[in-house]
Amino acid sequence: MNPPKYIIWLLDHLLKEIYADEIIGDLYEWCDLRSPNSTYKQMHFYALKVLFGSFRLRKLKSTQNILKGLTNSTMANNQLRMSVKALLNNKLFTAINLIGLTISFTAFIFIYSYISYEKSYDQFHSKKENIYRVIKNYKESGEMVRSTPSPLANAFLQQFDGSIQFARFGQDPVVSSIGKNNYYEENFYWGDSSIFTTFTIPFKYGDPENVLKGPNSVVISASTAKKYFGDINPVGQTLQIKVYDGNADYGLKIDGVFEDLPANSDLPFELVGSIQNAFDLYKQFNNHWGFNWLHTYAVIQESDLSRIQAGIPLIIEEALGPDNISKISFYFQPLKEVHLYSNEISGSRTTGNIDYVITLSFIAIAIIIIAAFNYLNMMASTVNKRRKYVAINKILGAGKRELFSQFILESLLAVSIAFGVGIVLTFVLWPFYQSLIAKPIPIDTIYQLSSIGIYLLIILSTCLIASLQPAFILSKIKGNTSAIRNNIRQKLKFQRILVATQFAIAVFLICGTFTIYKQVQFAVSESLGFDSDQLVSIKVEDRSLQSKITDIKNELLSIPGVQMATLSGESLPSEMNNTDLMYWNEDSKNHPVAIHEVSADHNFFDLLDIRFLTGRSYLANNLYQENSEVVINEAAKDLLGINFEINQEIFIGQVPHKVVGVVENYHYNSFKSKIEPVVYFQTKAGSRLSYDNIIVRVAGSDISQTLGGMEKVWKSFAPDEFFTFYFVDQTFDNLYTSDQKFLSQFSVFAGLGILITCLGLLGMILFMADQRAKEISMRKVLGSTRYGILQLIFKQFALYIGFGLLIGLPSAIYFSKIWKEQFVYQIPFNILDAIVPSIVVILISILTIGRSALKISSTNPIKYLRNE
Amino acid sequence: MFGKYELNMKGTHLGEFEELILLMVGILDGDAYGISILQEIEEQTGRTVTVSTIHTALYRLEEKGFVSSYVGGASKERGGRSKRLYRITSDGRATLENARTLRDKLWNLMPKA
Repeated sequence: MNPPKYIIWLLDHLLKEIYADEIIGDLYEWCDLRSPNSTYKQMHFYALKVLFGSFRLRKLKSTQNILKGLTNSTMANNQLRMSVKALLNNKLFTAINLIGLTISFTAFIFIYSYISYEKSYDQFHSKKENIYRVIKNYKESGEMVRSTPSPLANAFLQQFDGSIQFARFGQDPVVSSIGKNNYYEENFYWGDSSIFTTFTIPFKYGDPENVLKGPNSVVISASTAKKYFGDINPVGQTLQIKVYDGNADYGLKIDGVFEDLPANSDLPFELVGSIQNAFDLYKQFNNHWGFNWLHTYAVIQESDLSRIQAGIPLIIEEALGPDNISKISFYFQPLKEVHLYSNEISGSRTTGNIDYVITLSFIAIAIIIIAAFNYLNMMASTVNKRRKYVAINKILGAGKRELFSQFILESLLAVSIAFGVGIVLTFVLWPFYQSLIAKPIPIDTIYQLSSIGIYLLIILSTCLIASLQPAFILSKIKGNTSAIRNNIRQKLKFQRILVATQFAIAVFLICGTFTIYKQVQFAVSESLGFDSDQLVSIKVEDRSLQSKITDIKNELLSIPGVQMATLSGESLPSEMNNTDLMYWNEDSKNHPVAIHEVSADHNFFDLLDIRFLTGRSYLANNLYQENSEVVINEAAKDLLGINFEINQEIFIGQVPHKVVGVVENYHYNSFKSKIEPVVYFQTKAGSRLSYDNIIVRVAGSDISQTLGGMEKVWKSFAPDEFFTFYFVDQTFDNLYTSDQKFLSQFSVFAGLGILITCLGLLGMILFMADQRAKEISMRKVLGSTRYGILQLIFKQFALYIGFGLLIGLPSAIYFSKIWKEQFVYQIPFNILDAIVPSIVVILISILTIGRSALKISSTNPIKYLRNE
Repeated sequence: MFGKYELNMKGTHLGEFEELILLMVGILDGDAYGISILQEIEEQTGRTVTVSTIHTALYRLEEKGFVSSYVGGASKERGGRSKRLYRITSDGRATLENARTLRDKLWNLMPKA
């Protein structure tokens, strides 16, 4: 048995000749000796040990000799040698270049893997091309909603049976009991059996084709199964659940256990109960087109899609009457768009955002461009140094083509080294990046086959951007004595444009970071229109407990530290789950408008500190019925027009009510969603709109004691229920988590971009110091002051900076405007947004070049002039 | 840096492993190279070592002037590679003897158990 060939090859090429034979020979002999009683694996391992043991510097060949051994062709070999030499000749510039390129490639790989991860969401389903999500579209307002009505699927199936299939699921949090343990399961969904044939979800136990076929069955995820039963197969066991909303108990037979959904899936469920139970439980909603609660996914062959879409108006007409054809429609969103293109769709919990993807790809490319321009600049700067080399080579018979390819090869070598180091850095920094973006991107996204193609592309294009122009200039130098002696008059125009472009990008990045930061800060800190401090919200899920909600509230008031308490049918932030139609006169009766309904206790506005524009809150004994008192918000008042007056009558769902007060608009959800018309009233338990939140304002220093008291009260009403509460201000902040993640990503990469720009600047000033040393010395001899020299240097850079600001600022302001559009409520543009980044850029540049500039201006002229 | 230091200290220090290798080179008397030393060590002491550690020790000993080397013949089981044979120099022998004397002296000073 012989040692592995590649190890011999490596040893042969890396070791100095005097050692190579001895070490390789001994390795051969050793393998020969041991082969009777060792496996190949052991041998391989041993050979590796020898290989690494031999890597002592003294035993290794010099880099040049290694390269010599690797290339057989003399010319290619020579070119490589010259490239290495050229890189080593200018160690400082090469270092600056390589650091810049490495950073930019690292940033690129990070961003690229982030983007490909974002694009991979739900792409593992084998039917992905034919799966669509059904979106409800309110044509008049343009609003898109993810939740769809229950009868939708049947209506489509009647028209297009055979060419469309549905998989529906709807959320319904439950408490499940296993023995004595209770678990609150928020991600419990009622669903069709077709879920598991539509989506490709592997099963640990059970058969995906044969689950949820009848009522009282359930499928659970592997981690849920582990939580409940440990490692045994739970199929066939019964799971006791308690449905809050329906106030019902079921024993569901476990049909199967599916593997946990991967992190790059937007499918939300962990437990899926048979949808037939839900239809029994909520019978009154089955044929209710206004009750939107199901996620509906459809499987449609591409050839049928347009036919089905054309049939939608007919379905609307049959179900809701001809009036609604112009108002409501449905839209089939392709699965591959669900993750990234759902920001406009309300209720869509997907975390992706195509704007983020686009912005980050722009940054990735910008960073690469900055680094490539650095390289280009420095190559161009050394043209005169290389002139002699080129001219002599030409005299000795080198052709244009050889020289050209030599320069390209040189930059290819640098770029490849930088990319290699970049990959290693990516591996090392991966955990930090993961925590920065808070997504569990698997590390193998880095070395997927498709990524490698992109890498090669980026290496080649960087290399070409970086070296094409200098390579042209250099290879054109004539092979004669005058070329050896005289400097080439360089056209600096091109170089100036490059530096200015880099500055423009830097300004853009700083300005962009600044705007995003300010907008996110604005959203987090700007007043919501109510006082969200020290507000605790308690969710009451259980229906039977909801009937006692007033008693619980009153009991809570007795706890020291509880200042006030109120009840509401919407949590804060509010999803606004209930909507009805409103009209107020003959004209509007024909075109009623949508208005959100919120049930709220009479002291709701008082507790939240929401101001009344006019009027008052309804009276404590005023319950929702015909002619009852209601309060509307400013947005609703604006609908009623200028003739609005207190005690005006409005009709909600054709029932008349009296408006006794108008409250100022307050942000019941994030700054990204508009404040829409809302009507408030009081209800009693048991209705669709009844209270299911207790909102408490706490005061005093010992919050935890107050919370403890509240839990005690809660337990006295519901010993088996979980006491779940949250602080309202925190939940509002959490609405911007993804923006904050984006901000931190953006600022890190912007910082890197600026760092690379600074590296380039540093290179420029050092080069200038070198090139213009004589000129500056002469100027000094002729009477120029130190100040005059400094002025000379800074004037040149001021030009670049000025140009960069001129291009960078407007484009950054334009970008900010577009980026801010996702927020309905934006921080207005302030001139400081442009001034502060400009000052930052100027300061950074001065800091970068300042020291070198001072050094140049204070050198003794003798040092550079004495040789002449 | 370290190498220089060792050169200056030439002849004064012998590590434990180096001493072992030097002894083996002496025992094998002209037939000492990586594999034969490895086998000898295994046979005599039961220690398992890798070839590359032996090589490293040999190079260091050669640098210190305790062994000298010459290129020997190639063979088929060596993949056609020549071997390098080591022989102990008089310097090496003297250092070994020094070490032994020193050890004997110290042993004599040890109180009897």
